[in-house]
Amino acid sequence: MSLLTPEVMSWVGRSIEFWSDPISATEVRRFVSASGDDNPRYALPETPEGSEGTPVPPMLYYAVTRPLVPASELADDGTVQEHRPMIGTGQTMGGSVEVEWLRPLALNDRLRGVRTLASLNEKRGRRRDFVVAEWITEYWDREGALVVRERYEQILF
Amino acid sequence: MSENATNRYCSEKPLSLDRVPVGTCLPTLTKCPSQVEVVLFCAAIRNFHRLHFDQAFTEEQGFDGVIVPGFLMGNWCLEAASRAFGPDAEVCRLKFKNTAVAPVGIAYTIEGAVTSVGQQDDGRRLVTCDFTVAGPGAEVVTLSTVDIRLA
Repeated sequence: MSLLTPEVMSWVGRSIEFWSDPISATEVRRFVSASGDDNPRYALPETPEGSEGTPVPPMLYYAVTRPLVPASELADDGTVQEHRPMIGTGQTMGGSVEVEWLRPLALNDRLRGVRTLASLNEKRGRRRDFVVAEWITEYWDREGALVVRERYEQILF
Repeated sequence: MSENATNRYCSEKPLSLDRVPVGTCLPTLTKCPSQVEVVLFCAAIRNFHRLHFDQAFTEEQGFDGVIVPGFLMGNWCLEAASRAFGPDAEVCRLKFKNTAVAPVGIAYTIEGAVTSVGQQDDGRRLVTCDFTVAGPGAEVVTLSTVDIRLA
């Protein structure tokens, strides 16, 4: 039986909009220490004065736009049960990711994201059948300029 | 950017974005992520998938042990490019695909080479590098492409 029921397919084309908090010095320090990439490009000024415009690690776009929810609202696999069709067991894994930064992210940037489910395709795997969901997300800054484009393939099974 | 900070960061003398030719190999980066490092990274990017910290859950799913998150391996490729070209370089595109499960606690090598060079509309040179992340036995777990330019 196909995993792609009419109800599941009705998700294709749906979008959600979300906002990040402003990118803080704490988010930067947490990411830099956790990633092990001590690039001096992302060194923060010792005082807040003049920190506006300080570049931050590019992958922070992802961190600061992920929703923070209580554990009781997480799916069994620990993922956020946000805007996505429930397929099979409801579990997910990451697939491929393509990100383009139209300008460097900076301290205090606040991003508005719009994520759209572009397609759903069923595949036959060695262990199980699964569905590849293609998500397109665009992120704008407070001035309405496009900052980041992302294409993400999520595996649902 | 001070020369000292650049020298400390780069594994070798930084490559020049203005002159590097296609085919240039970048210095290899090595990573051996511990469980603690993976948990710290997952917390930093708000990824709470149990495959990255819950041994019993991971075994239930048919894997041998907890798994390195794909975004961490993508970030290793950004780091390898940044350490090769220095902190004046700006990453403007990243593409990565996980091709095999990457267990925690083993060593990975991140190898890359310049695969194309071009010019943007603003005149800046755009350098594209392809990377592999490989575990023991040279099993490739991630393929990646990074575009980088002068900031």
